[in-house]
Amino acid sequence: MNSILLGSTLVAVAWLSVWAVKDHSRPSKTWWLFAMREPDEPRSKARWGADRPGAQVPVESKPMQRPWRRSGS
Amino acid sequence: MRSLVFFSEMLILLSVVTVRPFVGILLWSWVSFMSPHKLLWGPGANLPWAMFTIVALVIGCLVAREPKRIAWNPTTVLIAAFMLCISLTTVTAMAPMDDVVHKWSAVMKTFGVLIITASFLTSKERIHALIWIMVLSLAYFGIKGGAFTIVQGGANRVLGPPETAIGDNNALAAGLLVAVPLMNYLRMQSQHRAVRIGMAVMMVLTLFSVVGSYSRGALIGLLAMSVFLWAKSKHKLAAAVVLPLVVGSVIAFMPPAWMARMHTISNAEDTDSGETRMAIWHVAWEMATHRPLTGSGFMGPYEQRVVDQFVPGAASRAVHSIWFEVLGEHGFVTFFVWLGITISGFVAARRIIKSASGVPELAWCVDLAKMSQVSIVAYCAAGSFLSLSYWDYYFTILVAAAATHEYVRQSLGQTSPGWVRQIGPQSRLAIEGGRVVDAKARAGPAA
Repeated sequence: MNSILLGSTLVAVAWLSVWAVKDHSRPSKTWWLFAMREPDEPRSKARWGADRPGAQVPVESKPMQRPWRRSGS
Repeated sequence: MRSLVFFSEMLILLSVVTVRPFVGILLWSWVSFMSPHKLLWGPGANLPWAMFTIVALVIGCLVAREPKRIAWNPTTVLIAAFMLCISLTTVTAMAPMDDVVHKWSAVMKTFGVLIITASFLTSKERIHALIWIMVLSLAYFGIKGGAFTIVQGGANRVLGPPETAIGDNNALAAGLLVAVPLMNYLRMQSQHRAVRIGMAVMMVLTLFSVVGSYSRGALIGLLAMSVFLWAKSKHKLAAAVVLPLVVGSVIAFMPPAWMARMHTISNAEDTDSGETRMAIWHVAWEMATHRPLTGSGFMGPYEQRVVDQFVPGAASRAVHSIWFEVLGEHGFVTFFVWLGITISGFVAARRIIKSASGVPELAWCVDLAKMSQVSIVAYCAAGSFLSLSYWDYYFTILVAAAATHEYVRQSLGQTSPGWVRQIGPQSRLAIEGGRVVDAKARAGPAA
């Protein structure tokens, strides 16, 4: 067990050293075990905002019905 | 075979250090925290790997093109002040000068590298990599000790690596306790599910290792750490169920001999070790009160001739308390500087939590800050019964917290409109649609 643990640690340290100095501006490959989790996406208005499906929008005054007019008339 | 693999890997990595000096920081941390060469046989075990790393690091610093600027912040300033203070108390030390200078040079090296480490922590990947190397260094002992405890039914004590700062069973347990929150940080912030699960398993095994050390101080530290971990957890209800369940299960696994030993905590002053600890704490206090500016100097409490000058008849020995060790060896002035390093790290973490909460890009900083605080509590609680005052692992956490705070400040200053921008130490202002608004007021009184 000691050998397995020590061997794993040696591999991990070498792997981590390479990861630490690689170019992080590019998207991370899946096999980089040390990659950090992507930040949670901010709540978009489409899903969580006032205009999400079924949301009731508070209004200051009641909508008024304007007299119908033909466009261009 | 082990020796050959280690030797080859170190040769390759040391050559990398000369062009990428940050790898030298990782390598130094690994060699310093884990002492992997002590786990080998053959000539590689006795080579000065830490010195090789420092030489390669210095070459790398000279050769590499990246900016070379010391990161001065409250933590690094206090570390530098502490180095100055212990140098002054070394001049007036009462123990044999050879022993004093030997310990002084070891502590100076440790803290000197901390300042270099701080200057290299300039990106989130570097801070993250440093936390990884810290976890990897102690995970070896946590996993091994945990498996040993489970297989043996907790009948035998878990010991640390010989000839290291955590060689003693008590020191190892305290060290593992300090590492557990960092494992939790990696569990929360790793991208891969397998890594997150692995970290959770590692944490449980490390808890087995802590309990399997039969350290009473570590048990107190474990309880303090668990309470603080719960207080800092995002899901308090789930944590209130999981934490007692895991800690309780680990404790329930231990045999009656372990329970009997832990029951002596309540009457520690009646036990041999409790009595001798009280006696040496009294000696350390007397040293500090008689020489408040300088203490006895390094190794004073270990030297019978010195101890006799303060409390005649008391036995010289390790102080077994981080607080009394620094007080006795260096007096009140250096003690408050040393304490200030911890306070500065804690305050930096607190400021991160206050200013970065709610910013998705900085969620990792908040998690790291919270777990750093848990580590600080674990160290202060478990260290109250141990001589780990100059343990580099702990001070590296404080340096990482200070570097993360600097990262947060810079990030908030550069965020695009819509994100919180910090202007001044206390104000939290946000820019929305070209207008500056008060983020606290906007979030409401609960924020």
